Amino acid sequence: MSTLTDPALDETATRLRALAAAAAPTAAARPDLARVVLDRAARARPVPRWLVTAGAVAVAAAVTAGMLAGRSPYFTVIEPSSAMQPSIMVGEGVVFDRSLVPARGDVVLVRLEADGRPYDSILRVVGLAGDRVGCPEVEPGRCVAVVVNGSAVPEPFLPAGATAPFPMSTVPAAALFLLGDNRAAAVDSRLFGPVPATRVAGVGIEVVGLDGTTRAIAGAPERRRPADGDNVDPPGGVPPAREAPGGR
Amino acid sequence: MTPSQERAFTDFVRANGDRLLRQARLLVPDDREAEDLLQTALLRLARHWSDRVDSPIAYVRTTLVNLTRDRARRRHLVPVPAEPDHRVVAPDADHAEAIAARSRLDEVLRSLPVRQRITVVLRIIEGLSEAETAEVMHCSPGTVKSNLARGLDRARAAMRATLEERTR
Repeated sequence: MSTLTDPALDETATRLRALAAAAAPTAAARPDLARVVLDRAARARPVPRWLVTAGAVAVAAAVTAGMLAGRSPYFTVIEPSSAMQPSIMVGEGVVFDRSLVPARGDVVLVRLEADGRPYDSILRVVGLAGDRVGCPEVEPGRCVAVVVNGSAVPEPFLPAGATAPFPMSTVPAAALFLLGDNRAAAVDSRLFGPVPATRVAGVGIEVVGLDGTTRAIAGAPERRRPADGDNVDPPGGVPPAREAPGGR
Repeated sequence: MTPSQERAFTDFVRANGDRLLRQARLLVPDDREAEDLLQTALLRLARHWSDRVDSPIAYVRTTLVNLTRDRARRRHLVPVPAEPDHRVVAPDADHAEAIAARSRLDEVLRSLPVRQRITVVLRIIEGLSEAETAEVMHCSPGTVKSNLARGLDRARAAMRATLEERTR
């Protein structure tokens, strides 16, 4: 087999071969070598591309479905106008809940339209469908309080006599009579009349002040706020110890 | 890998494992490292098993040679096994003789630079032809020839040295 010409090298080769043959028994592959290698190959095997694609599609679909179906009812809008001063100042955030139905006193976000261009406005609901709303003139140019269904609406968050007189009217079905708290300046239902209830995009539940703290909206009915379910200590000191209700 | 391919692979390893490990053991002078080398080579073979490798034996052999050369490149990081003392080994049992032969072989082969060592192992012990060796080593047949000659020369010197040391 060997083609070596040098007899000395040939002899070396023969002795090497003999040594290798003699040493062969010391090298024996472990009996489970195939299993070990296959296990390692399985561990090192990259994830198939189609599986990666399928996973990405599934995640995207889940995220989209979550955004469409399970989106939070809460959203925040920054008040851009002075129409709700002094309850809501310009630049403060108003958190709305799109799942609520507006009641009297609620602050709502309505989608309005002027000159064919849409805009959003934050206003207070004064009259519901069927209510008679107005501000009767007691002396020339002065009105004591807004009257709804014959009784004056208490508005402690407004200075007395803030509202200029406006005639009584009946709110049509499925509509709301909206007023801004800044009665002198607000563009509201006194100007454009009652607004269809379908234009309400959300009912305000709290105000995020310029310093980031939240507070309830003055004069609005108490609503469940996003942080109410949070597991935090209630404000105030620790209540005094009480006997357990069961008594022992 | 499908179950049938896994079975075929297992059969291949069971049939050729010892032989391949011996090849690896000739290329590296350490039991553990030889096993590591063989596992790495078989891992690469498993990765390409479904591509229907023409000759798995040749594939593993080439991979072993490549891994040996890789290892030689970072030899400064590889712990050198302790020098075996072949005079301690009592040459009475068969196994002891094998161990002695192995340690002598290691000593001889360790004295060769890696390319000469690979050439000697492939040409002399594995019995590959000059062309086959050249293909495995990605070099010309002339390089194989010169490597083999120099390698054998060194091996002879190393053998003579160990013999002298033993007889002393």
